[in-house]
Amino acid sequence: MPQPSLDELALLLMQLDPADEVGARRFSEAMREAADTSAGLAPMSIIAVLKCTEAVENCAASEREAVLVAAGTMLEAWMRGDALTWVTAAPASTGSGASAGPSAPTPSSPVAAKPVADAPAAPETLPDDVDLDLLRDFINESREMLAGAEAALLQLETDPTNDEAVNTVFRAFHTVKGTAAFLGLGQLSAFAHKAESVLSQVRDRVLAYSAHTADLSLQSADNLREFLDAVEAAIDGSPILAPDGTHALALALDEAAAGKADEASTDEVAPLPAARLGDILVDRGVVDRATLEAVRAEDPAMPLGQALVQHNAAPLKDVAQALRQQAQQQKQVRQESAGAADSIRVRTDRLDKLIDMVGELVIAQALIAADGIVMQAGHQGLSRKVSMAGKIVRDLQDLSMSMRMVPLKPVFQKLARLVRDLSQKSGKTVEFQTHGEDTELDRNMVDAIADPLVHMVRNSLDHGLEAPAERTASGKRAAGVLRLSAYHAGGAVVVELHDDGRGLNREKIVAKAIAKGLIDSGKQMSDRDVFALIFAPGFSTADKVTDISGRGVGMDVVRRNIEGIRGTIEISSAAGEGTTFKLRLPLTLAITDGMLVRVGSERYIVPTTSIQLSFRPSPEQICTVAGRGEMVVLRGETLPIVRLHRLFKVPNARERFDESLLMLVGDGDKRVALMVDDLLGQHQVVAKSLGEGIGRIDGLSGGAILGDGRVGLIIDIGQIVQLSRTGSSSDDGPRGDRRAVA
Amino acid sequence: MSTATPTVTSQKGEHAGKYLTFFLGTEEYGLKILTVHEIIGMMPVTRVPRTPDFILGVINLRGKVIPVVDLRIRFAMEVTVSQDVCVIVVQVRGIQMGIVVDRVSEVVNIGADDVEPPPSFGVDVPTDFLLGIGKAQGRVKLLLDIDHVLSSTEFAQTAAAVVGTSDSAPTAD
Repeated sequence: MPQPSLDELALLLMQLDPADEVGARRFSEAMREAADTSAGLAPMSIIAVLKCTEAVENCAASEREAVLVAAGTMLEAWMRGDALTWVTAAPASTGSGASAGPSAPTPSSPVAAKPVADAPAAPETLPDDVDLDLLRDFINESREMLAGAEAALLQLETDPTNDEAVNTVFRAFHTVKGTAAFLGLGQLSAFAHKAESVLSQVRDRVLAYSAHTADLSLQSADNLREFLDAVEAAIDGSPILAPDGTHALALALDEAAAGKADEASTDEVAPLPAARLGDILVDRGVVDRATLEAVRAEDPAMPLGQALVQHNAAPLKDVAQALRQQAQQQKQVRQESAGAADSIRVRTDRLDKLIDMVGELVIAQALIAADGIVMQAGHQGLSRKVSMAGKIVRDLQDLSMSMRMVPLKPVFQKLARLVRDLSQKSGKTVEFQTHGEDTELDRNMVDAIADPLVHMVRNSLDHGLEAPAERTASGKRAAGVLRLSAYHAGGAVVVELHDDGRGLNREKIVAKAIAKGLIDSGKQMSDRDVFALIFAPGFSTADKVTDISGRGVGMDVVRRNIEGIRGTIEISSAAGEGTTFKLRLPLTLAITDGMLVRVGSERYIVPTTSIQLSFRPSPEQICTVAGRGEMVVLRGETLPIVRLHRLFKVPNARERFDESLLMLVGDGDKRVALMVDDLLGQHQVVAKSLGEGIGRIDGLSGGAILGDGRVGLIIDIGQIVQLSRTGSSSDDGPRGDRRAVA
Repeated sequence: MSTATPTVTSQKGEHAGKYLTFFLGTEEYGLKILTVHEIIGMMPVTRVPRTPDFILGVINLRGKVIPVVDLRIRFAMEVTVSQDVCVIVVQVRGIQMGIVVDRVSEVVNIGADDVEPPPSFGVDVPTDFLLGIGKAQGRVKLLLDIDHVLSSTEFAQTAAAVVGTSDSAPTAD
């Protein structure tokens, strides 16, 4: 048999479930073999390995976790080539469930498993030799698993008997625990273990899934996530600070688990959801449950199978068969969970590169299709092949663009959790409805709208929905409805947040805006304009538009964020009926809808969302200030004219107004009329950075490859407005054109 | 970089190695071969406004937008139009950038003994962009410190100072 490498040993250890007797034995055998065959291992080290294998085999299931962690530590030392010692001060502990039975078992192994929960543990740091890549993967994966667990927990709110959901949560906690232990994150592992214990009892129907358990589990998920944040923050070598309340929560978990510990018949550290040895034996009619429990109570430290045989409660043959069956089931479960992962992780930069290349392929294909020879008559065969290739290329492009798309579901789930917590805190009953959570958006967009949505939901709950008493008084159902929906509309994704609360109070907003000096009077303003005031910076402060006090959530931040991803936000509201926020978002950040404009011999792309209209001014519309500052009068408004060719020093551009076009761009008081030579048509372009080598250029947001393969520059309207007002004094006018033109 | 002090001998060996040489006008320059990513033919360049003159603009390198600099303008040399003009794409600290050169020459191996520290001509002729002067096949190659050349282009402000010295330089438009 080939010598098991240390990596294989590590792999075995990682996959090993503490309750898996067979696996533990296999691991210790492999370890012994490795020690036998490993050259250059000092005698003391060999002894350490033997001690370790002994401990792994002989400890009680409840202590094995700690032993395995210690084994992991030793294995790491082995990999480094250090001298090995069997360190028994294991960082992890159990300390709940079966081991907390009437007669606390004395550790049968040299591992003194001191329950961490008894005292707040001193901060630990990451092990020196931790593989950072592995650690990052662990953090990411764990976060995803916890998100899944949270979703499942929320499912349990409505359906406490949903076994599949309990299993999902359990698996998440279990995996975090196991991997954390492998990485030497003792505190994290210990905490995850406690969280898992409670869940395992719920799963085994020892513990009912009550509101208390639900709260504990949700808190545990939160705490684990904070723990992961702490671990991530500790990558630079600082100590891992356990999140506040870990200790209290750990105690609460212990209590919950121990509350029914006497009923917890067998080892509480349940393995993957495969039947346990005892269950198998009972099912097979080898022993009855009462005998089983008796044997277990008598010898809690001994593996169940061994104990049964020693007490002559079951024949060895049957126990062995049951063990085999168990191992097989576990294998199956593992395979199933591996099969369930129907996705693989790909680094985003690779994906982006792929999308770039596909974009390039599209352009190359277009160049071929437009080639003179292909276009010539008499080459039908060739042109048919070219157009077929073109179709494939377009399909490929669609596919590659869709690879960045992810459903909104995780965001919606996060919000469901938020609503649950907030409604409990505020004493309002809220029915949270979601629609269209499978609507897909670019991954970056999903990340970008998560925070604004949190703000908005919080706002709606705090200020939109009324307290139950107030609702019933006004003839509404006591439970408020908060509806979050997402759908496609006109090439964009719309995310709508609707509450059936009291609605925005126009008078109060106007009064406040006047008090803040934002407006003079609200008389001529439409409702829409008035509501839009709540997005004004500095509008939202501690004293609220609506009466309920709460957090001062800056809606201006929300709007800035949404506009940062080229989205828009709208409010509609009716007094007494509720408020609706409507976010309109582009499908992807990468694709910009742009108007290609010509200035001189150069072409620029102006984002379509910034353009309100374009027109050719008549001479009487133009007026100047002090002979230089040019203005255009449009529908009674005067707007400054920005000559793009001057700002960008473009040679040979049209200077006369009757030859060029003005584009009304920007919004609010930041509107200007941008002067360009011509409009060349609307294009969808993939925005790219201009390359790090060139840095950021004022007035440009990036570049894009145009249909002919050349680079077009995308104009940043906000900065153009800024430039036209401030930094242009030295650059303005033709005299600033120091660049000689070839 | 203390390139102007000829007394430092420990530096001598570090500039030895393979260089890609190319011509700017009549002068032959060398680029460390490891910094060279590829050589491409001249292609249409999109001028980027509000950048120094020596930044010709940006090109589409297989879907990636990279800036192109003209070292002839950077060094205030005369710009001639030639058939052999091409772009050497270099990669320094992960940043890709194109350099317009009049003609690519060859790859030479320059031994440690053939590298001399750059001479000092005073303020008028800046030599801080040189690693040293290499000799191969009886000819002098100016070994470029491309990191230095490019890092000054990253910051338009720093580079803007150079604009004043290259007044009459035409662009590629």
